[in-house]
Amino acid sequence: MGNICTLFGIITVVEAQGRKERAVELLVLYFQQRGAIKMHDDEAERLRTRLQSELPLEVFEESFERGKALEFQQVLVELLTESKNASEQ
Amino acid sequence: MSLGFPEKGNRLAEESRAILQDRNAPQEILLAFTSLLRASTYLTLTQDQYVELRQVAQAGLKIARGSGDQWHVAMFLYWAGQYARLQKQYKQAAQTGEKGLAIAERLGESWLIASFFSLLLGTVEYECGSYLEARRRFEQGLRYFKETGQPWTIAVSYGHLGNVAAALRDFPEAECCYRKRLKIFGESDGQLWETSARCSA
Repeated sequence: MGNICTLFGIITVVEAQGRKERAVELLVLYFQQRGAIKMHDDEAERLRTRLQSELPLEVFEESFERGKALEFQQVLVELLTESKNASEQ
Repeated sequence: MSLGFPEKGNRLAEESRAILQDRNAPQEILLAFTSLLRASTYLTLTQDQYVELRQVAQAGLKIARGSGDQWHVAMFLYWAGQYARLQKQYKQAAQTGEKGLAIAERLGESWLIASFFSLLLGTVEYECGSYLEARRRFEQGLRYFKETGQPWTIAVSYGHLGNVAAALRDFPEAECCYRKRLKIFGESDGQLWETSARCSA
C-alpha cells in the first residue's frame, strides 16, 4: 500500500516537472498495481484526462504502451537509485 | 481510511482482541475497540458506516471514561476524531483531536501523540487547505514517530510532508520526501531489495 501511494505522489511531481510522457508511463503502472487501493483514483483519473488532452495522441499512446511494459519492483528500484545518485551529487 | 484490505483488518482485530485480553480490559471496551479496528483502516466503508463507527467510538469513549482508562479514552477520542474528519466535520474533528492529544501528552505515549499530530490533526489541516499548519503538525508527528522507531509510521509521515510540499508547489521538497518514504519502505521490504540485488548483479 505504501509504495503505491508513494508512486502516486511521485507521479504528481513528475507531471509538475513537465515530464508528461514519464508521468503517463507511471500512471499506467499505478493503475495496473493499485489493486484494491482506490484512495487516489479520482485524482489519478483527472491526471490521466489532463495528460491525454495535453499530449499529442501518438505521444500519449506510445507512453501508454511503454507504461504497460513497466515492472513495479524494477521502477521502485530505479526511483531509489535515482535518489541515491542525487544525494551523492 | 478506505484501503480495502479486509484480511489485514480482520487479523488486526484479532490481534487487538488478544492484546486487550492481556490487559484485562472491560469486555465492552474490548468489543468496541475490536469493532472499530475491524471496520476502519483496512476496509472500504460508506459514509453511513462512518456514522455508525463514530457512534461506536463515542460508546467506547463513555466506557473508557467510566473505567478511568485514560489510554483508551485517548484512543477512542482519536477514532471519534477520525470519523468526524471522514464525515468532513473538520471543526469537530480538530476539537476532539486536541482533547485526545492533551491526554496522550499527559500519558507520555509517543505513538499516540504522533498519531494525533500526524494522522488526525495534520490531515484535518491538510484537507482544509491550511498547508503550513498541516506541515507543522506533520513535522511534530514525525518527531514523535521517530521516538517510537517504527519505520512504517515514519515513512507515512514523509508521505504526508510530501503531499504538503506538493500542495505548496515545492516540488523538489515533495520529491525528497516521497523518496525518503520509498527508501524506508524499501529497507523494510525484503522483496524489493532482492530485486535490487538481482538488478545490480
